This record gives sequence, C-alpha cells and structure tokens, in this order.
Amino acid sequence: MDLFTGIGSVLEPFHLLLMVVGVFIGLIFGTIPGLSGITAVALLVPFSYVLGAEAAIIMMIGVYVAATCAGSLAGTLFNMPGDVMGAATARDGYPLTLQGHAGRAISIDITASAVGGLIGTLLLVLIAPQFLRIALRFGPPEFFALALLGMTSVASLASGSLIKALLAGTLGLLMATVGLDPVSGAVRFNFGLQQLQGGIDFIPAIIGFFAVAEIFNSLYRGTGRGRYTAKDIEKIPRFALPSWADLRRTRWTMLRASLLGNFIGMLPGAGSTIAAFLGYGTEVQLSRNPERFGKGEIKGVAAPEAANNSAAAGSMVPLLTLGIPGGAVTAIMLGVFILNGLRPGPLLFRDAPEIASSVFGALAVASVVVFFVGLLAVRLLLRLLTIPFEVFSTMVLVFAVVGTFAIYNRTIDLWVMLVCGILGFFAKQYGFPVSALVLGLVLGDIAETGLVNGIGVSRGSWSAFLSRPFTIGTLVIAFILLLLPLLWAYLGRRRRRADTAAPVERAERSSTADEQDRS
Amino acid sequence: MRPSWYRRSRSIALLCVAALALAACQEGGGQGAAPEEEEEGAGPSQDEVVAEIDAIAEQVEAGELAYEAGGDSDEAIDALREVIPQPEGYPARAVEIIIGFGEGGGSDNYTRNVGLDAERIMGQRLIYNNVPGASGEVGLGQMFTQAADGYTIASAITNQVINDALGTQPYSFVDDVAFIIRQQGPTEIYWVPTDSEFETFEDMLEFAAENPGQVTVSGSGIGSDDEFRLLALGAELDTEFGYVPFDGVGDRISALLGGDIDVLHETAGTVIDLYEDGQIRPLAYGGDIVFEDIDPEIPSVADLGYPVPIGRWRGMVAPGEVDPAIVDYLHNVFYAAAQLPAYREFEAAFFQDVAGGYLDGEDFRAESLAERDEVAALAEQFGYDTEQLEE
Repeated sequence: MDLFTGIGSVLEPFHLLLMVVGVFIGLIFGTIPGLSGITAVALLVPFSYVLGAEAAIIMMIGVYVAATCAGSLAGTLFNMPGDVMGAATARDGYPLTLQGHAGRAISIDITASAVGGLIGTLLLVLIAPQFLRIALRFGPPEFFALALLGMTSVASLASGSLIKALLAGTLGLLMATVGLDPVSGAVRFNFGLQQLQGGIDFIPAIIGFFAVAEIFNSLYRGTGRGRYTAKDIEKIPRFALPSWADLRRTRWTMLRASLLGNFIGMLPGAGSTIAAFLGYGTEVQLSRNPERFGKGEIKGVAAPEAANNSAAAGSMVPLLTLGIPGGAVTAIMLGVFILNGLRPGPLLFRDAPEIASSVFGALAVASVVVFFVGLLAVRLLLRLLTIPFEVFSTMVLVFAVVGTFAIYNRTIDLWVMLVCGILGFFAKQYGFPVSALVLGLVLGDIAETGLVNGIGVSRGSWSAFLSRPFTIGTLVIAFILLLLPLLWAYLGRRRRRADTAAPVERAERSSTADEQDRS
Repeated sequence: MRPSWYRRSRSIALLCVAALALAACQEGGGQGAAPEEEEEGAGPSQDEVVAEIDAIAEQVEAGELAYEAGGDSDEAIDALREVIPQPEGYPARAVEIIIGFGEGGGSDNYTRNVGLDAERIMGQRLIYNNVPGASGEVGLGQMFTQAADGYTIASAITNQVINDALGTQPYSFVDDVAFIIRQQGPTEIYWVPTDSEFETFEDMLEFAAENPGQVTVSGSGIGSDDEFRLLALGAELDTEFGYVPFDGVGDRISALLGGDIDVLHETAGTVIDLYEDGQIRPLAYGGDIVFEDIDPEIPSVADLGYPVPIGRWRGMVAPGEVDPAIVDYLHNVFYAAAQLPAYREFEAAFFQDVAGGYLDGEDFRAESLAERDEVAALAEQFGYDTEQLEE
C-alpha cells in the first residue's frame, strides 16, 4: 500500500535526517513571531536542485507540518501568531498562558496538531478521491457561502460586545477591498500607493495586529518581567504529555475539527487558510458553554489546531490528484515538482509513484516526529516566557520586520505591519477583537471573488446562490450555527429557572455534562 | 554571577540569530568566481554573437562539448563565455531578478530555469526576488525604484503591456523599460471537459453566437491576455462570452472540472496531465500554432480565420536607462542559457519549444508597441472602462 511504501522510504536514514532537520526548521520558524512556514518553505526552494524532488519534498513536508503546528505556539505563548491559523488558536491559548497553564496549552496544542495531521493523512490515503469529487462541486457560489459560514464565527470571537466584534469584522472586510477590483480591474483604495495595488496581505497584517500591537501594549502597560519563573518550568515534566482529563475533554473536538479541516483543506484556493477559524467557530457554536471560549477553554486550543493540521494534509489532495495548489505552501511545492522535471497531476501516481507515496509517508511521519520533538521541547519553549520584556520585545520586532519583508520582499508590507500594529493597539485598549478583524480580512477576498464569479458562472443572474445544493447546504449550516447560541441560551435559561439553587455547583456539573453530551 | 535567565535566553537568542541568518540568505548571495575572459573594443555584432552561440549549442547537442548541468563550469560554458562580449566591469556582483509573481508559478519557473545556466555563464549569482501583486506590476514598480545599473532586472509578461495600454500604472511599461529578451510564447489552448456537449470549436462558437453571454470561459484574472483574446473573438462573431476570471490556476481547473464553466483558456503544460488522463480535451489552439504532439487534428484559432490579438509571452526587462552594452550582454547570456539542455528540457515539458516566442530586445520592443496599440483599440471598442481604471 502506498502509505506503507512511503513510510518506508521516509524512514531511510538520509530522508529521516532531512525530515527531522525540516521539523526543527519548521518549529523554529513557526514559533518565532514574525517568521512563518511559508518563508521557511520558500527558503528551501533553491536546495531542491541539490536534493532532488523526493528528498526536497520530504524535507518541505517536515517544515510545513512543523510550522503549521508551531505557528500557533507563538500565538499561545505570546499572543503573537505568525499566520492565520495561529490567530485562531491564540484566542484561547493565550488566556491559558496568562493563567499559568502554558504547559497544558502547549501539550494539547501539539497533541491536537499530531492527531489532526494523522487523521488528515489517513483520510488522504483512504477517501481522498471521493472527497475530491465533492470538493470539485465547490465552485464560486459555494465559496461565497463558505465565507459567510466563516463570518458567522465572528460572533464566536466577540469578547463582551457583539457590536464591537461586528465592527472589527467589517473593518477587516473593508481592508480586503484594497487593491485591484476583481470585476473591472480598477484600482481601489490604494491611497495613491502603487505597491498597494497588490492588496493588503493578511500575514503582514496579522504580525502587526498581534505581535507588534502586543509589544505596544506591554510598553504602555509596563510589563517589565517575564511572566514565568524558572520554578514554574521545573514543574513541567521533561516529556510533557497532556493530561488524561484534557485528552478526554477534547477527543471529540479533535475528531470533529480534523474531519472538517481535512475537507476544507481540500478546497483549492483559499481553503486551508480558513480551516482553523472554521474549526474554532464551529466548536464555539456547538458548545453549550460558548461563554467559556476566549477565556482559556482548552477545546478552543484543540479545535483550530486539529483543523489546520488536518487541512495541511487535505491541501495535498488537489496538488497530487489534479496538479493544482490548494494554498501558498503547496504552490511552492508544485514549483519544486516542476523544477525537478515532474508534472504533478493525475498521472503522477503512474509516472512517479515513489514521489506520491513519499508525500503520504512524509505527512504521517512528520506528524509523529512533530509530536515527539514538540513535547520534548515544551520546557524549552516555556523558557521563552522567562525572557525579560526588554530583550524579548526587541528580538520580536527584529523578527517581525525581517519576517514580514521576507515573505513577498515588498516594502509596503512593512508599512502595513506598522499601521496594523498601531490599529491593533487601540483595538485592544477599546475592547475590539482583532481576530474578528483578521477573519474579515481573510474572508473578504474569498467572499468577493465567490460572489462576483458566482454571478459569472450563472451567466449574470443570482440563481446559482439559490439553486445549487452545496451552496444551499452551506448557507443553511451557517444559519443554524448563527442560531445555535441563541437556542442554547434559551434552553439554559429555562433549565436555570427550573433549578435556581446552588448556581456554582450547577456550573460545575454542566461542565461534566458538556463532556458527556459530546460522546 | 549572571542571572539564570541570561544564560538561557542567550542560547535561545543564538538559535534565533541562526534562523534570522537563514531568512536573510534570501537577500544576500554568494560571490562567484570572477569571469576569466574580458573582451573589449568594437566587438562582433549581435547577429554574429547569436550565430556563434547557436554553433556552440549545436556542438553541445552533438555531444562534442562537455555539458554538466549544475556543475561549476564545463566546456560548453567556457566556450560561451569566450564568444559573448562582456561589458567592462560587469557583472561584478550578484544580479537581482524581480519576479512579479509568487514561487511556483509560470513566471517563477521560467526565470529560475533559464537562470540555471545564465548564472554559470555570467560567473555571478542570480538572486530571485518574488514580489507578487497586481499581475506583476508591484514587482515592476519595485524594479523602477532601483538603480539602473544592470544589477536589478525583472521578468515581465503580457499583462504589463495590457496594463500600459489601460493606463493603470504610474509608469509606462513599453516606454520606460529597456527590453532585454523575450523567450516564451503563448501555449494557451481552449479546453473543455471530455463529456462537454461542444464537439468542435465551431460548435462552441455557433452556440455562443446564438446565445450571447451563455458560454462561460475562464482565464487568468481580469485584464489578462485571455480576456482580450475572448473580446476579439466575441467582436468577430458579434456576440459575447461570459468571461469568469480566476487568479489561481487551481481555481480555474476545478471550476472547469466541477462544471462551473464551459471552456478553459489555459497553457498546455499546466493541464497536459489532465488531458492525458482523459479528463479534458482541446477544442482549438488559442493562437496560430498547432501542437502536433497533443493532437494534430485540432485547428488553431488563427487557422479558422479568427483574430488573435495577443498571447502570453515572458521575457526579461531592465530599467530604461541601463547601459545598452549591458542589455546586449544580458540578452546574449539568457539567449545562450536557453539553448542549453537544462532549459530546453524544461521547455519541452511545457510545450514552450513548439511555441517559440524568442525575440531580441529590438523586436521585443517593436512587438510590445504594436500589442499596446492593439489592446488600446480593443479596449476602446468594447468600452473597457479605462476612465475608471485611471482613477
């Protein structure tokens, strides 16, 4: 079977070495706020000439899988994610760190990543062709519906005021309109800056909104010392397995998010970028205690992590079966295939079966390597928290600048980062959730292209949005998710009225009930 | 004694610095050995140089000159260095090539593949700088901000001429650049899913003529060569096509396979696997070339008597003020690199060897001027809203 041949090939000493090196590079690039997996993978492109396609792809997958996992570590530890997926995880991961549960958050973070990666790989091997057939039915109208579905999770990102979350989301949508108009090609809202014609990319924006804003915020508030002491870290075991209770609490979350993430990852185009937010949003909407999210709910860490790692595996499906990239990283991998004289596509399995099975094997092995290396590194990662603010913030700013520039080599991205940093600072002061803003920015493009091209494919009418089963299905799910919190709230109120006694005890009980409801 | 955090953060900082250095590698570049040959004075004419390069390429092909891709140097490279006249003191350091599209795309593949042997001939590193955005214009805009010393050049595609015609940019591509070389010609083909009801290209045109706007065709983005080809075709038939642009090649292909669009106008190399796998079939070749290896029975649009106003080419340009001697040198280097096996194999895989597309700097400029006029006329004819585009 392909998977086992692939695992065998990846376990060859040279390949395994490259894989482990790749995982280290990925973990480092992912963890450092400001650097991202895309940068790391792009840096490997020139090496692929020397390594050859198979070795280069194995290494890149190591980097990709590790960076996908580590991107959210920066979010969890410092509220400084380097990519969209980390922005979702930071919502609950960072509060956990603030509460002194950083070790717990990171263990579950890494475990969920590995679980997501493995489930994603299994799905990739077993049912990819069937899934793909459904994924192909996802045309522009479905993408528009999917963007709407994503936007329902803005509600889940509100901490306190829903109005503020909606305002932030709308500003994000507005920022997404900067650049060339997808209908007429006209230049929109570029403030006369030629470089802004390319639009506002979400990675510089995220680095600004989170990392830079967080530093401004700490300067303003004056946090002088590291948050953790060496003593706190001594308490963490050397191989920091997550606790049994946390695993039990999150097992269905991980499974649900993996399935969802894998499918979303398969959608060519923007799929893999929104998997984490959809994973998070669905989990919040489905939960009977949505108010716990955003304040350090461990499920809020597991859901986006499992979803985006599973999506990483899913994004390989269109690459391997149709030769089309599902996201930024797979686009680079496609280039590597081509540079090495391979043509990814339906015939890849016939012409170069060893490459295809290596991809499967590498995904599986990378998830396992990330799990072990990651858990071994938990203490090391937590030490980052002991670094005094002056040292840490200086380093982060340097990386933010280098990392932002290194992605597209554009100076305008540095300005985007800085402006977003200032915006993010004020957003934080006045309680606007920046993650809603980022979500708007990410979804804006998808929604607009989906709407415009959706009208295009139905030859100038709106009928596509009302007649296609998958569009209607997605819209209905979005609608249900929007209403679910209201339903839970209503049911909750009714029950509370029924038993008004001992509210504290009730809250305790409802948390265990919450677990059992899922099983 | 130093506090304990100091020692720990020092090791972490070291790790970080290593990563930083890695990231910076993309910008810096190794210094290659200085070229051995220096030729001066009124050397041979460009035509003679090209002829000599061709002769060397033939010898390489016949196996008379040793050629080893990826090596430091070999007989073929030495021979080429000897015949290509070198400007005084150039190149003394690495040359940066701005690619206006992301890693892994068509422009990226072209530039990096032709660069493989170009940097060996030059004896200097080429630094590839992907600056994506606005169909390559963000990268081009960046090139214009750099010194015109021949150390920053860019790879350009047809969109640059179109955007010039539409006046979307603060500069004029055709008037402001020095044209080095054009190396890739159009390989676009009109594809349909295998089970499409359109048997032939004429079927499709007939249906489109009777039902304006009902045939949906996808191409790469708005204001692209794909769109202008369709506009011209629509004008000829006195009808219009439903043009649905997708920026990503992935989105376009899945829209075709998923049945969202009827026809895809796409380069041969990108989708040839799907054709060989029997999922799609060609209706007509988009330009005037018939790709015998794909299907000699299929007509080209030009053969059928329809206009083909523009096609997707790729080439190299520099800022306008660059010394003509350097422009000629770069032309010769890239021309020679394109005749060597590494690039030719890449071309063959993507049918670029059939499409040709080579033009020297002078012809490249003349052709671009003509294309700009043609696009401007089309844009006016179709009320393509240039007023709005100018802001």
